[in-house]
Amino acid sequence: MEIRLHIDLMMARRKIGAGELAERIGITPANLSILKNDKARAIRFSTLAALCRELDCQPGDLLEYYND
Amino acid sequence: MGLGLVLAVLLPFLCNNGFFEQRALINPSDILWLMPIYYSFCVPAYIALFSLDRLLAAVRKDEVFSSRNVRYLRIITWCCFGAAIILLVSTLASIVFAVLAILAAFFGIVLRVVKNLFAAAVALKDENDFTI
Repeated sequence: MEIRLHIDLMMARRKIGAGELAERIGITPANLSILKNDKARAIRFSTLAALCRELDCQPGDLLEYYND
Repeated sequence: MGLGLVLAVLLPFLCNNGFFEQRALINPSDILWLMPIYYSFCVPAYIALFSLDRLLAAVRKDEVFSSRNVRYLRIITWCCFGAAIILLVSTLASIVFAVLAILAAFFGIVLRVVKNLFAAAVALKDENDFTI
């Protein structure tokens, strides 16, 4: 997958724990861990919106495209 | 499975009693070389039974659409095709086996279709599970 998610970076910046974030955006901790470990195949707009809302950032801050 | 074992052990005695001769399906002289074929028939039958048992155990645990189940289904299909080939060889003794061979092959093809559908369902479920 050529898309990387920087959720852990943003979480550290906002000083929020994984369990708390999962609860706030309404997904299970297991699914949040899939997102953090770049195992996800796709992300719903609703999940992305909730992430941006809770982490107070733009989608561009969370997603990165790389090509190696 | 127990019943199958009992039948396998009793098969020579059944033949001695004229079980097959009475029905005039098989020439008595053919039984000698048919016997190994009957026993080799047990191999795919037991592999298929074992796979079916594993498959049902997985379904009972609510793990329906997993790649392991697809593998079990594929094994069962190959067992069906193997049984069809064994029965086809037996056709030399009696034409009745041809009917059974066609039945086994048909069943194998039907199961192969089910297996392919299952594989597609597993891919869909994977895609869905990793969309968050």
